[in-house]
Amino acid sequence: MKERSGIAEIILRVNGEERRVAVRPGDTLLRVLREKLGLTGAKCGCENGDCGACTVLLDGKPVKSCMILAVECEDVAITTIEGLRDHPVQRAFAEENGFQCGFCTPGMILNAAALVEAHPEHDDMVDREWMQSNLCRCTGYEGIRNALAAARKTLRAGG
Amino acid sequence: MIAADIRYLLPDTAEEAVDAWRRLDGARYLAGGTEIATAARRTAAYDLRTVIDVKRIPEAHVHEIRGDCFRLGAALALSDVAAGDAFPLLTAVLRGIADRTVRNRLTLGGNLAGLLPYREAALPLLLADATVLTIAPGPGDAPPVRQERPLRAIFDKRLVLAPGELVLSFCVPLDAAEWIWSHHRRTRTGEVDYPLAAVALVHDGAGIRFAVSGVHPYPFRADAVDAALSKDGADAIPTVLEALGPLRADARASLEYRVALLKNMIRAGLEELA
Repeated sequence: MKERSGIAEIILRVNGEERRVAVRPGDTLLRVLREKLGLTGAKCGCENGDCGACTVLLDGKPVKSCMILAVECEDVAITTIEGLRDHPVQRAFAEENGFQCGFCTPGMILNAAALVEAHPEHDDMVDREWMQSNLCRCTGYEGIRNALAAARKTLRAGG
Repeated sequence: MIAADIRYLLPDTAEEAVDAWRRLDGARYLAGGTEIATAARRTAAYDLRTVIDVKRIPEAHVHEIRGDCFRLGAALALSDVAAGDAFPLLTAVLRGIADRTVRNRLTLGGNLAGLLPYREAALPLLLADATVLTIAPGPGDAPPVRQERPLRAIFDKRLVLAPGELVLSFCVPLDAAEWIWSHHRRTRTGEVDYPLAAVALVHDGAGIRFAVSGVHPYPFRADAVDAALSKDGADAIPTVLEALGPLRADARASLEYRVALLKNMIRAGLEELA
């Protein structure tokens, strides 16, 4: 049985790299990414599982990193916004003005990237179900919606 | 951040998990962790000393047909259970709980055993007369005890478990997937919110079964209500309201609003089953 207590050294697989890090078992993944690994793309919004600004991918699934202990993530692939390189969703958000202040954008993009990969065809109900996980206080939802459509088009075209 | 210095354990078997709970004072089981992480962050008064992560226990991850039932592991994430779509009413109910990325962590067992009162996943499981497999510390030095019991026998507003008892899985009869069903859920604001009322009805071929959450701080199902709705349909709504007692009234909705909402939902549900 694996046990972690005090200050524990763990290995996290983040954006394809193994990162050795000393954590307290009570440290959330969000805090470890930001404060120990310098990956500040995931944002501390509500830290209550409501806003989605801290969204990262665990084994490709979007989750809220403020609700997960870092020690729970030793055997999974973690993808943060820093690990997403030139993804069609990123380009689409830029081209379709899918952001305003930008605070929610990393979480939005990671969730959207997982969404268009899981559902290459547009389905309004599915899009709503997935994207309701992320709040944009600037209310720039129309641009985000357009970005989803544009990203899917690019992906279909093989881009 | 979570201020408490905690110990984290990751057992490989249910027996190891229960044994760890017995050895360590103040230990809590952790699966999705959505409630534990947020409660521990919010207040240092939340007693968190040891967490026992049950995600590696194979029995808590089953998602298969065994004999005449669907066996659903308690540590399955709600989104995985919904994706399996073994029981359409359960799928519909799970899609209303929290939001998608939370459902990627929040587990079936966690929704029923957690502190939040709504426990909506209980509605279809109560209606289907599902059973629940648990493991609990044995008396004294005796080995842990496994028990499979009807969910309704150990569900009184919440799961009534013995100290250290861990839910491993739920068994949903296969025929429940064939029943006609109806599900209505209303919130005060957007779709991602706690329910003012969430109503589930099924027709099992012999009669109607009814369960509700949101109107009280716990899910509700009663045989007398099922019998009245089966016999008298919408005319039995006063009987349903009487059985429920005074409904919840709070900042989200008044008592009168909840009564009107519930009446409409039951009528709509019955029409869908007809």
